[in-house]
Amino acid sequence: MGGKDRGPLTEPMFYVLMSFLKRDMCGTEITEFVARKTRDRVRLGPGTLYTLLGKFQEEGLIQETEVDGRKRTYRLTGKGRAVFQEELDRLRACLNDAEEEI
Amino acid sequence: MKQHTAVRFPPVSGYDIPGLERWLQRMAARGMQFSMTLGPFTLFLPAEPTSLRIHLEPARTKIAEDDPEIIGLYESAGWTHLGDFRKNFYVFATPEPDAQAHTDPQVLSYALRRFFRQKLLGGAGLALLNFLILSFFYSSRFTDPTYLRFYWAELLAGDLLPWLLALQGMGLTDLSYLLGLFSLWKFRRQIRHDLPITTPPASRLAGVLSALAVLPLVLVAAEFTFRYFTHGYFPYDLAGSGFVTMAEIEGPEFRPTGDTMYNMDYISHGDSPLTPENWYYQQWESNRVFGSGGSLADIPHLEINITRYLLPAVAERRAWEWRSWGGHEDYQALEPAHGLEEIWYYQNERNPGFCYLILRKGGLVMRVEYEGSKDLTQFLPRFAQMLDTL
Repeated sequence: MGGKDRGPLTEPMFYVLMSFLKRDMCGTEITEFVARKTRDRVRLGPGTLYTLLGKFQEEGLIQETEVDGRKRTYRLTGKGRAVFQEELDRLRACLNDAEEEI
Repeated sequence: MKQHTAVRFPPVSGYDIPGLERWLQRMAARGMQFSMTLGPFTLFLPAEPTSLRIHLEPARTKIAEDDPEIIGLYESAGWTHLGDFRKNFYVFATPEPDAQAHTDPQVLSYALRRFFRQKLLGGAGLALLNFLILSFFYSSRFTDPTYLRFYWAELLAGDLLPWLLALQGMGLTDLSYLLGLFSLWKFRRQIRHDLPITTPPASRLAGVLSALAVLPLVLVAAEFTFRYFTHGYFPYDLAGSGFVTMAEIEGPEFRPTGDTMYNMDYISHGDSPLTPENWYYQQWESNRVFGSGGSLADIPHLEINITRYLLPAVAERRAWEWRSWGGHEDYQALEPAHGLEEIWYYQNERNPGFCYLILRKGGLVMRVEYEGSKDLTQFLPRFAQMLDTL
């Protein structure tokens, strides 16, 4: 699950990583980003987001940059960017495969 | 009318997430809102009956203090934080029936797998607790079938009862824990394979076992705490105790040994919530045999053992057990007198100076071992009086 040895990323995982590409983000900003970006197509429950932030942090894909009360801000690491890029390449390959057949 | 906090046992395993969520929702609908957990108990505050959607979020680690981030995330999504469940789960509620805390089954599956592994490791802690509690009270005689069959009253004078209660409580807890792990494993499997979520029968059984374990474990904890702080040992001075002594029986010529272990100037006295109160006293004459490797049998002495059982029938059994050591036929039953309900006397044929006396009055039973020049039955009124003072 997410990563070379764990299969493809799920949509929520992919979009959460995507949310960090341009700037550091906290949890509520990530939720808003995903809702806006996907026009509410991808829903990000608070449990899913909390678990993902913990998981990504443990795997070294993101790192905490600031704690302000309830708000914790994270940034994407080099490893996180690589995992995102890998998934993006996979999705592009899928699209190309599909388009060739259309 | 003022309503008070309600206390309940969970009807399902403490690891059965959907089962617990459904239970907390049913309680909320009945006007009892989850407040907190206290050991095996769950506390509810009175509230307006409400239809709530409850979600239990597995904590990343045992909750020492609330993680503000998770509470912030849930609150911004319209959930209210109610508290934590046994430091394992954050409990959230929302009036929205369709609200979803988890929107990615793979992520939930990951959280459950992580939680399952933590609890599996917790099993090592539980095993250690089993070992510590059981070994604290254990004696090899507790697992000797002959001893258990014939000398159970004697074992009850020791730690048999707390050990059996610990064994029962820990056994039920261990089984409940294993069934809970099974429920958790099954829930993760249902999430992972998108199967219908059901409460397994094992979860309900785990809830029952967990509740049944509480009483024996509370008793064991009380015993353990009492013994930890007091050792269950309360000796007191021989002077003024009313105990019969060798000096009293033998007269002023009696010369006690200078060894304070064999010439006690105190009464050894033990008592604790789960073990019978007991007394011990001994006094031996000064003799060269001490320390020379010779026989102690011929040294004039008095040794007193007393136990107070809650039930007279157990004391009666103990009297039987004491008699059975020397063979029943060797003891002579004397007529009950001086308020004593049983009087048993044994005199050694080859050594008439040596005798045993077993006395019982209600739940109090006493065994006296004596080697001396006097007829011990002449002191029955004094022994009866002694028992009355206990």
